[in-house]
Amino acid sequence: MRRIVLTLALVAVSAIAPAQVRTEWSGSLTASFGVDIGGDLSAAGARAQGALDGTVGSEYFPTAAFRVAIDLDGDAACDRGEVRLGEAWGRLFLGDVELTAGNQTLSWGSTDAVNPVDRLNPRDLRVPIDAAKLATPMVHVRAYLDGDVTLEAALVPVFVASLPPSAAWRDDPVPTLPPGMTSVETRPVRDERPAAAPENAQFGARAQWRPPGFDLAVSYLHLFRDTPTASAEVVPTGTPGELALQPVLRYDRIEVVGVDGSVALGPFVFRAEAAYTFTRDPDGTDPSVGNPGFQVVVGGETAIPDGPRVVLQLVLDGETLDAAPDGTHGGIELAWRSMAIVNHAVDARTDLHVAWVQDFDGSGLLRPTVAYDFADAVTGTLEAVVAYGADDSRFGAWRERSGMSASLSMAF
Amino acid sequence: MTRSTGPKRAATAIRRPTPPIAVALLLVAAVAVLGIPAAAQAYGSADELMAAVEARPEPASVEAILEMTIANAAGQSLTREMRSWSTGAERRLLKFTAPADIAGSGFLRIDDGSVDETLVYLPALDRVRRVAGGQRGESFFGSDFAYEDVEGIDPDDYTYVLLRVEDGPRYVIEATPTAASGSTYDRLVLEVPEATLIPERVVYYRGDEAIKELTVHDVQQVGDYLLGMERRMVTLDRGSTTVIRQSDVNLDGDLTDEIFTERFLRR
Repeated sequence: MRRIVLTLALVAVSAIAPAQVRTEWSGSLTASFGVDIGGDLSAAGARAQGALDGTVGSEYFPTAAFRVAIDLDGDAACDRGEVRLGEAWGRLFLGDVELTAGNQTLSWGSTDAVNPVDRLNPRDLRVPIDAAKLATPMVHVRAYLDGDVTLEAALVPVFVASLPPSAAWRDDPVPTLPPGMTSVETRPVRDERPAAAPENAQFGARAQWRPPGFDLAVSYLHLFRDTPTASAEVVPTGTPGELALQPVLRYDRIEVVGVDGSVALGPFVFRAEAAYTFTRDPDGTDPSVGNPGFQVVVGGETAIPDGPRVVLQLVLDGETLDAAPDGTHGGIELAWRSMAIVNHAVDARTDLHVAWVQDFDGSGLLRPTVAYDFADAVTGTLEAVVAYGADDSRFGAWRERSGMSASLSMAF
Repeated sequence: MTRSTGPKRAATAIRRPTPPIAVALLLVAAVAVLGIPAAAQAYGSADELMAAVEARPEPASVEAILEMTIANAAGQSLTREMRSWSTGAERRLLKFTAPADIAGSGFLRIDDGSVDETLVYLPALDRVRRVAGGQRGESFFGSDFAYEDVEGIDPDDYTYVLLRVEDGPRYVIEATPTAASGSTYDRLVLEVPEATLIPERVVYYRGDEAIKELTVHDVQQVGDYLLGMERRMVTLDRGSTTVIRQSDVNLDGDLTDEIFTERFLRR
């Protein structure tokens, strides 16, 4: 009996042995400190990120791969302390098809910083100017076809909302009441995020054609908006003239159709991306549902010899306005922004990065950053944020958040 | 050096021996009057030499580990490690493996006549980006090498003039890029020893200013090929230096087409 068990064990081991597993740990430690122009701390924290990556099979042509990443983040200035699961996925390589399941992030689109078709992952908007992507549970398939065509499909079975802006970055809206009415109570916010149910599944599909010299892609997304449409319901209290306010956060079902691409022409790379968002309120008559809109980004990029790499972009946002009380169409509101991004490697250790957004409403945001490599994988960063504009402008509300921050990061 | 043989040697034998000093004086006079190079040379023109450089046996494919050390004028250095796959000058793929903050970054260059494309993958963005021709002058991952330096010299992209022949013999060639090459340099001055036919020193000019100098060191016979195992690029005005040293070299291996794809670049 023992001999049979031993034989079976040897057979099992010999079956596993060819599937060689390679693993590698990596991570980073970051400490940061910042103050805003009012003298308040904008950052005073530390962050540790760790990841385990692995492959099964051949080193460069594995049959499977996996990644598990953990993020420990504490910031006294934002009263934040958390342990968050980052990317945690497994991937199978099946010939020309890659199948990935788990917590993951995807990047779709072609332009810089503003990507109308890159909507599958929610964002961490606690500091909205960073808007880092959050890994979310997803099943993703990528197929490489003949003719330089790549097809992708992603299924997001469970809705995850973006993290809302922290108090310092948020303007709480003041609802207006009907004339002669008094609010006596504001009830707790009712968050109506979609439940985990088959009918609430989200998905996206993308086809990209990438022959030499240019690429072109079309995308379709069936999602919920990851930031809520806020509304307030007026609820009678039973006393004449007295009402209670019931704030409601709803996540609208949306369909996004987009196209993006890039082309290299001599010393320039031109990129463009556009998407139209359909909602369940095409005429803008339901205040509790967001209105349809579109976003177009057009830009060019070049590298100046011995100088910086420069990106210039123009962004156009359009949104259907709420319908008039008589039901007539409210028209479309257009908003233009220009963006300039400059990256320059001053020397082997020093990188200069400047991002500048100028809205056509007169407001803007300037964000220069200097990064210096003290040693291999040890980087210090000094950054300024300057927001300007009127109170009711796009960036004017962030004026008080202008300030400076410094961080030191070590990767391993 | 070619030794005289046959009738020529026999003729010398019956002539009265010429005193060595007289021979030297005759040679100096000949050089002064006729402009004949001081050293015997196998190639009479720059084009002949560069044709020989191009015809030098090259491995069909190279797989190697590269260590890139970037040092400033004060000697403080940063080190990057990468894995490299290439098939001639037509296709090259690089993947960084260290340090941790840039590990996973990759670079793919394809120029096989029908396709001319340079793609860069940065894992932080999780995107493959196309680098345009004009961006070939950009620094290669913060080093003293530009992208076009890493791509190597395509002989068809230059016109050549032989400036002089030094002892060795060592040919000094001026290479001027054609307008179609997309080079960011105005000219290159190459020094090519006849013994190796490897451009072992290259000075890059913009206008009349020498801006960078490349030297090739540790030339070794690996299998059937002569390889420069170390390349050193100096940016002359600021004194910074980048050294790329290759090891674990595997020549003429079977590198499948799948390696030189966007898909492998991301993996």
